[in-house]
Amino acid sequence: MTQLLSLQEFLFGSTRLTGQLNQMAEAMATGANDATVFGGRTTIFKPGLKGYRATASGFWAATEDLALENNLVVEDIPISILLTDGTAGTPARSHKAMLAQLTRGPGQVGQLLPLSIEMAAMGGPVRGTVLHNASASGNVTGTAFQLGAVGATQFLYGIIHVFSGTGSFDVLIQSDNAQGFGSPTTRITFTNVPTGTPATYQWATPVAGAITDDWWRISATNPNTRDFAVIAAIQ
Amino acid sequence: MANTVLFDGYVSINAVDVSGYVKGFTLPQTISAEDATVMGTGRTVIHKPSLKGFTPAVEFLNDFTDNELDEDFYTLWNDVTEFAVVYRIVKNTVVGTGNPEYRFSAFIGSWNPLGEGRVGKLAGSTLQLINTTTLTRATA
Repeated sequence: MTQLLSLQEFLFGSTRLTGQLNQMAEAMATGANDATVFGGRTTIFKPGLKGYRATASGFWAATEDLALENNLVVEDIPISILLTDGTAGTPARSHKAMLAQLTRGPGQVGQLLPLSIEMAAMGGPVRGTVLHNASASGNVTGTAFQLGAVGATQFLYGIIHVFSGTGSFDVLIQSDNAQGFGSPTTRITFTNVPTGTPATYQWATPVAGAITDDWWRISATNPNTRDFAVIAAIQ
Repeated sequence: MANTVLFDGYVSINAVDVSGYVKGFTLPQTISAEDATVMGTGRTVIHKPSLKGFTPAVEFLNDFTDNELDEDFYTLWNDVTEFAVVYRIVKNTVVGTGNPEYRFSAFIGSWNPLGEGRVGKLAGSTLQLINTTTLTRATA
């Protein structure tokens, strides 16, 4: 099924940049080492290092511009690209990064002022699933998704982006062996977001497998209203 | 000489038929030219053939559905897998002198899952492959 680019989202730490962007891209690359030796007449290669880079561009706006400015020398910012329409259950790719380039302009009289960013990876990407991406009032028991078990050599990754809101806020990623979640197990507990903190983010410490449960959801304790997104990945 | 309109080509990546996502494929082959010009050979630069090379690439429209193209290519890239690649001119015709098959192994050199990423466009881009073996042109 082909994918129109129209509803994808670009989450930069605690800022939803989506509404200011008209372009977002990922570049995956692998270095090629010339492995040609005597005995043949064809150049052959062996793979070297991988590289991953996310970029985005769109239109300047004061709020988003300030958010980017404030992150100019910050490390390990979680960046999540929601690959289809950003709803729960859809795929996402996340990585930890630093802001490598922030360009305002070129600005031409009479034209919309452009803005573009380029990230530099501080960790490899993970491909996961959006467990939640919306504003919610009150506690949240998320929809269960069958993402699969975590193998013995794999890890469970959890990323949370909190965009706005008030009230002491706790979010868990839970698993169970059945969709009904009759006996949920908490696998990731994100750090509490205190009352006076409207926006934040966290890349949770990865949890090593094996985990045989194959159903996953979030559970949030939320006294007021919070706009947030959670991505879980098994890799 | 029969010309060929390409409308049902075949591409297999890691033993998976990905033809249904392919917009086009290319297989440029090169031979390095060593400058063999010496005194007395006149006023023309002459060459000797050296090593062969090829830079295969396939243009795809991406699919983010579970267990489909994006997930497969991401895994191949992330695991730095070396995999078999097959191109064939006509998918539903047996391999033969009129329908050769090109075979090699490779890893992913570059892949941009969202393409240029412009709003309103279809996601997809060119998968650049880097060969780890020689190229075989098979007619059987």
